[in-house]
Amino acid sequence: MSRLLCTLLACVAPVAALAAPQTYVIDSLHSFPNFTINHLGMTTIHGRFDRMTGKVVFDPAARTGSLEARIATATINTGDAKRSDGTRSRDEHLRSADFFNSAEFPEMVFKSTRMNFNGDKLESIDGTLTLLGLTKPVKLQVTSFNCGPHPFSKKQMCGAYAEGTIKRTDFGMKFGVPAISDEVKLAIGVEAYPE
Amino acid sequence: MEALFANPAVQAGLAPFVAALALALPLRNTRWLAWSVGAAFVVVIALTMGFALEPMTSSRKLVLAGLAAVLVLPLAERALAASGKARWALLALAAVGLSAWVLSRLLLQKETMPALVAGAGAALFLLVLLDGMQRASAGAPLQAASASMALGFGMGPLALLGASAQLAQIAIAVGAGAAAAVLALVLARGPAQRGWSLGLLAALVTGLAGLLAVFTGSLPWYCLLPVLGSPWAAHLVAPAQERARWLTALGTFCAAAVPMLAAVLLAWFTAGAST
Repeated sequence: MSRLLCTLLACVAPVAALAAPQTYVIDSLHSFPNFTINHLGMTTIHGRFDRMTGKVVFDPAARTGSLEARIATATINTGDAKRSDGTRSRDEHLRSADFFNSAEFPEMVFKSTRMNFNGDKLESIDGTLTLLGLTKPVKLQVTSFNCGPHPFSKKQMCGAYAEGTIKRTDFGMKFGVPAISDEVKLAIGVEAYPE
Repeated sequence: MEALFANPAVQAGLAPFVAALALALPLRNTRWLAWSVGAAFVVVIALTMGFALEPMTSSRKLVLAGLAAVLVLPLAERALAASGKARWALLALAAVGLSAWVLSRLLLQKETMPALVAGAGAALFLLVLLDGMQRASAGAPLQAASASMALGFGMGPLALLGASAQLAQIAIAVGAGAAAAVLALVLARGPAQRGWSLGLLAALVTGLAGLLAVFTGSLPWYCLLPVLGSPWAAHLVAPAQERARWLTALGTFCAAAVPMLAAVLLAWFTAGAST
């Protein structure tokens, strides 16, 4: 009886290990939150934040997981970092109290509340975004999601691309509305490696 | 109409001036003259940031501090006109308390010693500015309004050079409100002696705006040092009964504007040099 029990346990153990949630650390060099915003009704300004850190916990067997991403607001980059004529640049303006107020709120944080799967495919992530001290719900649609070995290092990794939309006035960021659009489109690319 | 009120020049200049003038004319020889600058302040906030309390950022704390000052300063005008330790203590309490409260979250981001140094520097800046304005304008509302014009119209470009258009609009609106008070006082029959506390209101709001331009924006802290000379420069223009009031106002404004211009030029050339 005890031999049978041990045999059964030996068979179950590897499966149990595969089903355990795995923690992935976001690769900051290959993960960027990008955004676009309409400017004066004329064009679309593209920008991104250059530094994002965080963790993803993912259980493929149970189809559950969680994501926490921290974005350094001072790393905002819209291609206008410094001006030669001495006037303040757009990136400096965006870091000021008019927009992201980076000195007072150095981070914005996305925390997932639910990952929604369609079969094995991750479809969307419900979560909250904390920006300027206010926390509001945000839904991200996952347009691509893949896990597999890195082609060179063969290290297991996962990557995803998700899109969403927020209204910046929901977070108290009112400056320039409506000349600078209230609606901001998000596009977030993430690569992560097991911890 | 919506497009008109969305224009930054209307938000910071025309609308605050009109609102301030509407109060300055009937209140010009009362201690409530500060409400004219208060009206300008309220209008620019209503047209730009709004009065929502969330999120409670340092800018929103500036708004609350300004609103509280609009209510309190006229009531305290007589006490603040007196010389001596009580007046100085009141100003010190206001400067330390308000700068610590408005800048608290910013200071908490720093290490202990840098936070203490920055906090002490901010409180000292605000105290010296308030004290300077009190000495320059106690009992002289025309001087107070003229010096406040220079403070407001000078701090606006400084805040802009610190990369915050919002703070610039607040400062310029204070200048516009003070301009309305100057106009009302020049048009008045006979000199006025009450209502000078509008100078303290202007100094408080523009002082806090300048500090926020340093702490949340890109304005170097040393660009605020010439600002401290503005009320003292205004003090050089002594009021004279025989001189026309408009001349006194112009002279006071020009004298107070010189240190502000120096501050703006320092900020401009510093920004240019850093590229």
